[in-house]
Amino acid sequence: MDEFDSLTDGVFFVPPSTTGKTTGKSKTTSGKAAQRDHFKRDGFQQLKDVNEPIEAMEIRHDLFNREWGLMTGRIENVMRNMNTVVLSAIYNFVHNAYSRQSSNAAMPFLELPTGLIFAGINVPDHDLLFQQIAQTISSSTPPSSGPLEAEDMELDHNTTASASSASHVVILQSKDCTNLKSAQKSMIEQFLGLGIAGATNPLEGGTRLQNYDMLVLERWYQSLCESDDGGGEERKQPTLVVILQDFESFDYDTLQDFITICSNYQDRIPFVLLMGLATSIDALHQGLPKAVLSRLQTRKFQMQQSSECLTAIIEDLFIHANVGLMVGSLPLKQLIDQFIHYNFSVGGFISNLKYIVMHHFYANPLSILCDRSLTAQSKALDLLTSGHFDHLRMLPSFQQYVEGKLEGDPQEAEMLILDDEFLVQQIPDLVQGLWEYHQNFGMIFDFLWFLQTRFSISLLKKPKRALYFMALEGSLINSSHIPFLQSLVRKLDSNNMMIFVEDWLQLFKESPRCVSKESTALENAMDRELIVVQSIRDRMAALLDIVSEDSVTSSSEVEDNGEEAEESSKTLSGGFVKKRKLVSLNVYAHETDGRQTRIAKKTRETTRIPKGALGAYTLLVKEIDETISRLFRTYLVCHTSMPLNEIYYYSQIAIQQKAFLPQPRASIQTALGQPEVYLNCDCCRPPSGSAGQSLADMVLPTQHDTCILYKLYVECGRMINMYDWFTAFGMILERGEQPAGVEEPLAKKRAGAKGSRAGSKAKTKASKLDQKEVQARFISGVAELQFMGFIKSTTRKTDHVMRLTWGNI
Amino acid sequence: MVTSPLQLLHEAFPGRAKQIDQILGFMGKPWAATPPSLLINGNSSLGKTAVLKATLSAMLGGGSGGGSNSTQIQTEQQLQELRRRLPSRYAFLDCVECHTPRLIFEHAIYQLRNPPPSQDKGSVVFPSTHASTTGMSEKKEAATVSRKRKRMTTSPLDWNKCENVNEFVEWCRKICDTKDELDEFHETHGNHRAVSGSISKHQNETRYLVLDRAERLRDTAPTLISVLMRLQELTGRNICVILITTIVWEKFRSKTGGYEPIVLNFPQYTKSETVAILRKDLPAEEEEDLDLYMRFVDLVYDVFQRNCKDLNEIRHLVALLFPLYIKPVKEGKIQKHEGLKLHRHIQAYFVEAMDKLYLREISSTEWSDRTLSTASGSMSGGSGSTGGGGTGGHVSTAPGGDRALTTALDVQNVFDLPYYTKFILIASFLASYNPPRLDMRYFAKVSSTGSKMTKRSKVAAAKKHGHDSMGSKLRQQLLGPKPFPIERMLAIFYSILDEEVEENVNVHTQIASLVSLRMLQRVTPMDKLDSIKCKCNVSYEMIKTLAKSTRFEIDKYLYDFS
Amino acid sequence: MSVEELVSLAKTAISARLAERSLPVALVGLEEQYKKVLGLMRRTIETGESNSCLILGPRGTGKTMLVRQALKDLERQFGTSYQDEYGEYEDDMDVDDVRKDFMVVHLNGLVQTDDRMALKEIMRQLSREGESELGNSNTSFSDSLPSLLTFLKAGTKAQYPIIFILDEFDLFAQHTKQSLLYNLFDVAQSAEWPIAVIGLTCRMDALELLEKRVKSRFSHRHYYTFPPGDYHDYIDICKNALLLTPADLEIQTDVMMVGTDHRTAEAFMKEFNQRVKTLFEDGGFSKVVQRIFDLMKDVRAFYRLCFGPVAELSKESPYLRASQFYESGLQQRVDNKTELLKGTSLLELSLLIAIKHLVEREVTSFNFEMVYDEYKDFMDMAVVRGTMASSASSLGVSSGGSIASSDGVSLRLYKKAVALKAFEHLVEAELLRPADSFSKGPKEYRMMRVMLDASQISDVVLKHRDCPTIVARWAARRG
Repeated sequence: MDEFDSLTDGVFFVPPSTTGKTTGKSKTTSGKAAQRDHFKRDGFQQLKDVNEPIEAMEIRHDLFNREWGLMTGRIENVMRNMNTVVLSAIYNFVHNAYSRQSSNAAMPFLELPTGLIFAGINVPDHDLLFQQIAQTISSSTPPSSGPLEAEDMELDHNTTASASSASHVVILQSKDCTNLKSAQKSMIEQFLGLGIAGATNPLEGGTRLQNYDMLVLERWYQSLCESDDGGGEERKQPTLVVILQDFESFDYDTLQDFITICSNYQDRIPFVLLMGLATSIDALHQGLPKAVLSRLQTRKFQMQQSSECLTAIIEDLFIHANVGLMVGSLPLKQLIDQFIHYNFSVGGFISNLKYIVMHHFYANPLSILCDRSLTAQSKALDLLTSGHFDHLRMLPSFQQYVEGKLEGDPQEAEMLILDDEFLVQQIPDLVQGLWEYHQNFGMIFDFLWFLQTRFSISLLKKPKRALYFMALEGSLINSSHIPFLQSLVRKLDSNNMMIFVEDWLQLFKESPRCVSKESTALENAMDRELIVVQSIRDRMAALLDIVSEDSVTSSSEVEDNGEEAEESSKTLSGGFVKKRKLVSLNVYAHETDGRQTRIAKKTRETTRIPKGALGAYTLLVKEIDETISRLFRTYLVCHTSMPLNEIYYYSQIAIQQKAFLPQPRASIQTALGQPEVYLNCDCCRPPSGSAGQSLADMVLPTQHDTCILYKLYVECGRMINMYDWFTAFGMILERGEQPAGVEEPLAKKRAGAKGSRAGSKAKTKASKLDQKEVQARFISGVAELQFMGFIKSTTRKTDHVMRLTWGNI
Repeated sequence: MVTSPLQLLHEAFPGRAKQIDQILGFMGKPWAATPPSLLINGNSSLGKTAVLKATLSAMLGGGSGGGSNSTQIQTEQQLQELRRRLPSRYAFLDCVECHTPRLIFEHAIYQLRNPPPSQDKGSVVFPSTHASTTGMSEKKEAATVSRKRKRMTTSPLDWNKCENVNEFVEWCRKICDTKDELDEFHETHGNHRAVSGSISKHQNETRYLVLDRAERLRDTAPTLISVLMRLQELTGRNICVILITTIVWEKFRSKTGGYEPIVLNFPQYTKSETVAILRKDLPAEEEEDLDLYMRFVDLVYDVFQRNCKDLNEIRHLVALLFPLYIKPVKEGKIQKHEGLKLHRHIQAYFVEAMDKLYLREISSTEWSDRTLSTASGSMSGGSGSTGGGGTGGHVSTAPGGDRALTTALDVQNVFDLPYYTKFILIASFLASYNPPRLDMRYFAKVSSTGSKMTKRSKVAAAKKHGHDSMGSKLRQQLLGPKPFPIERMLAIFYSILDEEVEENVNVHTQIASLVSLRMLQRVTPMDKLDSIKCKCNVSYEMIKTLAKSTRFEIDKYLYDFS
Repeated sequence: MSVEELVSLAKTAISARLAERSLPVALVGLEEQYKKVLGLMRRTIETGESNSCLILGPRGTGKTMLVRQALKDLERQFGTSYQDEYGEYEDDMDVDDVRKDFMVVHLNGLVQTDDRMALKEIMRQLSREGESELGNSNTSFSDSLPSLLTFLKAGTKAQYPIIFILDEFDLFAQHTKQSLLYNLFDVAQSAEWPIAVIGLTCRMDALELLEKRVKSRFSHRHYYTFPPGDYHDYIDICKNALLLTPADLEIQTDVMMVGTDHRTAEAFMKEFNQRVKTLFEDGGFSKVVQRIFDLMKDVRAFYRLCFGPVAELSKESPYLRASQFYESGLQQRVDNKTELLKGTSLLELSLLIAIKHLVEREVTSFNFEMVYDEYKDFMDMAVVRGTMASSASSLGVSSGGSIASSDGVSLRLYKKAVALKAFEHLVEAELLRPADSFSKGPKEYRMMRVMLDASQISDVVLKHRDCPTIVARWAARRG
């Protein structure tokens, strides 16, 4: 039962073992069989409403597995890439900690190398992270990372020895380091466990040693060195790495002593500490006194912030549409809110996402079509039943589509509605169209991002997430953001405009859509755009050539000449780099002191560009402007405008919220406050007199005892006098019992209702109810309240109970 | 004639000659009777441990030279050889490491029955072993390990169990009575006349038991102290206990009293001594600009000594700042002799260092990386220390200090929290520092004028508290957080949130995780499930930054804060 | 023999005496008690009567020494060569037939912390004394006590008497059920095996610690030892410790010793003792001794004083000089607390002053925040005053919060974090003590008490090497 001793998880899901052993013998073999493949396909069932064939269900199942596999794969990928830089940095730190030359740090005395790993505040995610780190370190080769590759190489060249000797790692967690003994114990045990080969011989002599005696470790280490040193050069010695995973929850006094001991042994055992800090360096200073701090030689490692990870994931999965199933605006908002508001937990995000995917493929019959590689001859199409078609035709987007067709060619629209065959033929094209849309969308979105990053505007710079979200909502196109960016573009002066166009061209050229032609056989929208941009660029260049030729005399700045000369020599490389810097500077200037610079620029242009060229130039600029806005308007349209998008966009949130934002307390309070919500009995309605106030804030004798007690309870203060409570309760019951002639029928009805209720009020025909019963009901009600944690008995005051909730909620 | 160990020691420890002589005096001849117990005290980083270690290993460890009156060298070498081979005469224990009596006993016995640790540390590599940070340069360390390695291979560990004082005393007797070649050596060799004396006829060499950080003894084994103080009397053998501590003897005394040790105090270093020590820190490769270094040391001493008596801190500073100091010289910007310019150039860093005094926020490695990177002009500096970037640091104020320094110095003190978590934290801060009676006034949603009247009340409160002298010190802000019931905090939380959020599980999980991050502290025991109380451990500054990030003007809601 | 060797001999001898390894040449002021104890033991040995007694007296008044002396003399008398626990050897051990007339068992409350251990120890010592029937009975307490008792009870008057010395007697009284004491006294009372139980303690109320049943079995003999009453006794004791005896220099019938050596040795001794006598005439020296005497009347205090000078004896300066005693006297006398406080940095000092002000306002227990607040108030004020006063701040360091006080020392307001570290240092030096028992939570708010009083603090401020006048004035200011 090891998998159940986790303290963090509240719930464990235990599927009956698929061998059917656990399902009791009462079941028939067939039942077993049924159950077996029930679990084999993760509880997927045929959807009755479309009476779909079993194959369809299997397809959904497969699709689900494929989709989710894809997603998880990509997600892990993203996460890894995000941290490689840091990981390799840590790796180098550990491996050079003791082979570092004095060039790096000429400290008078040896400090204990200590890496501070800022891992973000979401502790549950850390386990995995530190596992990863531990692996990385103990592996003998640095993590292959793009950016740091070069550095790794040269670092390893001077310290090949250290790299060759893997260092040993232990992870200490606060829960097994309650005091110094246990801390040392667990460390030593883990280390010895590591080197099983060497583990025996130090212990053979030192059986009498206590298991928290550092001498054990020392001897083990020596045996280790003896065992593995071939050539006796000293740098070959492995370092022992101790990872303190959750620094904040350690007992600080223990930690102080522990660190002190480590640094005492440092001359015999090369220790390296790695501390996982969730909050900030303040924790370190709060925790350790000066004496200990001064023994540490800290270095900080900033793990990737989880929000960044989230953005990266979203971009990779959705913006670039690398997965089949997309997430609509509402669910995405929900996902992100969950993340931003409550826990920066990527893990939570993932599980949430999985839930979405599951639900989509589980419940939505059309999800058999949710397959990016859907072609005319794919099996799914044959399996479509009439039910499916109904669903399809009911999709709003589909109807929209048909209406769109109506004035185009009505009979096609008609066929779409009536003829299933035709519809089936249409589907693949529609799907393809959707994918086209995704591709283009991704690319243009990149362009938008490129625009935004290009202008270093601190204010109203939107994160990728937000932009994408706007796009999903469809509010992106006519948001003020795009015009603003365009205005910035317009403000560029000629040189920067040129540069800008060049980069733009580059961007399009590099984007996968244009490079990889085989992505789709039919000619590509983006290619057209590419051509457009190309032409613009050429004309621009040409124009500037002219300018450069006759503005040699006029142009004041030498620098500009240089640039234009280069531009005229059409080299896209080299020259631009430093100019790009210029751009950002310029624009910065713009939005700081907008007007006068603009004027200045105007004048400069007029001086620089001759009359004739000026007209052409402005035209060009205008064209650029239009092109940009056209691009955005065409390609960033909202997905909802695309037919069949519902199949590919999961767009509901209710279930999700139930699953991931449960509100036990709220429901309990509703249940007690207005029970009629749950047991919708007709008996509890406000008396004729009180039309004004709502049902919630009045106590009705017809309600359940516990509710009555609760409502009384809400009125009370911190201490509740049992007797008063009881009498009040009694009063209310009394009130219920007076048979007022006016509401006779009501009373009857009430009686009926009561009869139907829990039975607590079964024998209420007697006009006078006896105290015993009242008391009994009172006690039972109070017991329930206590059980639900609203009150607790107190010794502070006789025959009082203490109220546990705050204020009158 | 080799230079006598005494000279070595003296020049190894500037300004400690007197103490060394005293210690040697107390030790006397290897077999002479010593005072039962010594207590060496003095502030931290005055070289207590290092001096003693060095002295002992030099004299008894067969380190470099034997008795103080060495004349014939070959016997000396013989002696050393023996000392290296034979069981050590002294045990050096750290009371932090030996945190149970048993550990103390067993380690002491072990050390006394095995050859002394190899000699590289102690007298030879002085600067590294100074003060409690017993470090040493790379090669030394490696060498030690290798040497130790050889030793260990030869000897299987013979570990002796020893659980209580009684056994320990027995062991001490046994150890002292084992008469080995050394003792015979004394009797046969040079000074045998003296040895044949009545007292020391059966006297073996004195054993020394050194306990570093002895103040810890009071926690680990309070009764042990008085035993150790008179261990000599109890065992009736030549054994001398030396305690090293930073606190005064008065704090060791037990109520019934006991044998008092001889107190040996290590006074503060004078300026010249400090400078002499720092002189040793100059890395060999930079010998050429020694005079510059010395000038710099002078400067640093004058600037810092007033505020930082900790020698190690100063050494740390020097080691950190010197490269920056000579950088312009190396780059040829400033000539060596232009002291004033250099001074002005370094000042910014001094201010910086002053602010960060003792904090070690910026470690030597990072620092050196930085200096390198600034030298090479590129900010990246190759060190992946800030992995994904994204440091929301506070602006550090370095007048004239170049960016490289400052950017590195502001480690990210602010870190991001989930949105609601921020509010939970703020709410709990309010709950910890505001008196509950004012909650209605502050947080009742109905009274839109709440903020105004709170302002007034705040002013009033300030007036009330500002004047009477001691009241001002008893403000809640100074007294620290009060525990509050979670319920109250939640109520505040919901009231300060501007948008409507219905309570759900995540809120509570966040509370839990805040507790695990020590931002909240749970005062009620873990098993008590109802009416949980917490305290808010977060500083006012941090709350302020949080509030700013959420655009929540906290000051309106705080009672009597400044 | 050379002077060097003589000196080294003298050193060894004297320091042995100072370390109380060897007994003093004469008992001063303890003759009474000595006679009594000796008599008691002798009676046990000779007439085999069992006895029990208690020697009470403050520390360092020679209880142990008394007993040891007694035992030594007894051994001399009964010609037993016996190495006592104190590693003290008889010189004339040329008795070849070693016949023991009595045995001695030394126990010490500090070492034998419970009856089990005590019993083990008894076994060990007895068996070492050659009682083979006990030698191999190193068994657990439960069955070894009976075996011991049967062994003891079985005995007759003819048996070797055993003398139990219980040092730190009071600690034995804290053992569970005091069963050891009970049994010992029981044996002593029921006169079977002749034993003498001699307890030594510095607790005057030691008797009250005994249970009734134990107390009833104890013969209420007390002997009290007192610190030397009048100055002369004290002086004598001290002198005895320093004076050389012929034995110290082995001036006796040493066969291989040449006459010249003999003479030089005697000459040296005479000279040395002469010097010591003059030493005691010396005014400054006797002032030092007088002071110690007035303070505590403790001989050991003087011994401690002597260690240094004795250790310094060498070929160059073979004799004790008064000057040495001055400084060593100073060194032992110096109040280490102020020594420590000299090492406090300016920041720590100002924190201390802030604390002083707090304490003067009856804020006896405080936390860092309060102290820092006080400190800050002062600094703000100082800055205000400083800025108008100081035109050019002395060192470049003075930026922002730093001001230059009148004597060119630049103060600066430190960040909280830095101040906190300084505060921690004060706590480490235990000048501050947490007021409450250990509590988690931020250090800043941990309630503390100061272990110094205001006068001490202001004293420190005066002593402090470089304390700017502003701070000094602040410290002087009341309230």
